[in-house]
Amino acid sequence: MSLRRLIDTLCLAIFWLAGLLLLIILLGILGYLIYRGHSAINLEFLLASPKGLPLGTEGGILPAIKGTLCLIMLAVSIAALPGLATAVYLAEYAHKNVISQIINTTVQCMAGLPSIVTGLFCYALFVVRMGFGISLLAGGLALGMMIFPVVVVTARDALLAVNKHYRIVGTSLGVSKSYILVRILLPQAAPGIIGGILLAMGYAAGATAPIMVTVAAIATPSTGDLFQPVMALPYHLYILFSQQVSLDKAYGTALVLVSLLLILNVIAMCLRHQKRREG
Amino acid sequence: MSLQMEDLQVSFGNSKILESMNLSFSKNKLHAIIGPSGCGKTTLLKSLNRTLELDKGYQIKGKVNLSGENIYECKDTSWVRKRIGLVFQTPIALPLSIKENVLFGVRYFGERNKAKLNVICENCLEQAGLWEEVKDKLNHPARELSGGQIQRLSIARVLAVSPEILLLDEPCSNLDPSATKIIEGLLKKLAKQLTIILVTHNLFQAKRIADITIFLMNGQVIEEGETEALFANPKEQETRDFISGLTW
Repeated sequence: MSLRRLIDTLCLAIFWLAGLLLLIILLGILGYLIYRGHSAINLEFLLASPKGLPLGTEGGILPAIKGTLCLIMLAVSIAALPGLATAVYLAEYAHKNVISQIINTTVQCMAGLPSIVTGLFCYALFVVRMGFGISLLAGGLALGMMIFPVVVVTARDALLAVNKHYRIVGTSLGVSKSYILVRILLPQAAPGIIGGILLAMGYAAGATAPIMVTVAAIATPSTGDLFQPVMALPYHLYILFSQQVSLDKAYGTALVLVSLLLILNVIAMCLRHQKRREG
Repeated sequence: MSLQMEDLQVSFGNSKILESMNLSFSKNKLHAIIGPSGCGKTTLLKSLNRTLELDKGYQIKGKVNLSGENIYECKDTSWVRKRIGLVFQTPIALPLSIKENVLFGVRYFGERNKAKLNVICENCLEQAGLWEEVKDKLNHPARELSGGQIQRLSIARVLAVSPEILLLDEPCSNLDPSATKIIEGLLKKLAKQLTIILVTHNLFQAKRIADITIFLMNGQVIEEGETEALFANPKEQETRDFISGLTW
């Protein structure tokens, strides 16, 4: 075998093994969660409130599921439209100048901000300064702020991926930018944009740090009242685990949370796949 | 409608692309612009309907008069581009149905009447020589069409907004000979109603269909005149060399 072919085969093996390793880690986590958590999962676990002493040793996680869903919905309602608008500005309207560079850099910095810092900032601003207290609203705003850059970046990239000739053809007909945007670019980028929003929802669902200081309670019915705290799956998991309340229930909760994230990711992947097929 | 360029100069950074162009395009004639690669043919075409300014970095000086009005003084670029339509080299179907591709510009310019829209669609597809091939699948996605059909659809889409001048940038360069033949026939027909300016690399195509031929080199007009005369008896040495294949 010639040296070149040997190098090629070696490269292939290294990359293939890297992919395999990732798959093994992911499947390992999932498998372990199923192994440890499946015994805790039953109808009562999904549909009842936590009970027992200490709280969580018995009963279920329904308020945490409800709370997490409320938080996701609120975060997405807060971040989706401004995120999309920023993405449209960056992809379609911004000239390559200092302002657009500052916005791009700011979005990137926001994406890299540790979520506990976002949480702390939101605690100071919404919980204390604006007087919302530890509440669903403060938590939703914190998560909204956290996922905003994810929405911007995915939507911007989805718009930039649309065939640039469509813009040129439209403009050369005398058609305005906004008309091309509404009739061509947004529908074409929609699967990518929605996929990005779903990924951001997954990111919000799993975030623990920002909700610890803005919204989460150890036990509350999670009524959906904007000014009341709610329970949330990641925080509930953290309490069950860190306080050694019940490891079985902790693994059960983790399994529910991961399943929720998996569903969101699979939907996002399907949308991207559909876009690729259509494109 | 006639179009005149008066001392039009285009530069990109420090390099001059077009040098002091003075050209006149007569009404209802088919003009072919020929010249070696990089001589400024596409730049010239794009400067005629103000799409060149969409690419950053170009400086444009001088006048382009459409019926005596300088299009570079007009604030409404949309109006200019509607009146001077441009068909690109690459056949491009918008991600819409065949019918909506044709009506894309028409709807933007405010036509809402369904019956009128249908008539416009049929007429333009007819003019573009595509009606018979697509009349039963108007609501199918346009991407199902072949390259040649998409190029004719692009022409129909431009015709639908009723331009007075039609610019075409090497419209047949990506097409096979039979699709090229169809488009050439179509352009000859359209020249009876429109002023057509065609950029082409294909000298035979210019010879076959153009009334007037303009030879460009290094951003300058070397020679222009009746096609037959220019090919049979070129006045300039550069033209002679280009036509005989010495310069490319």
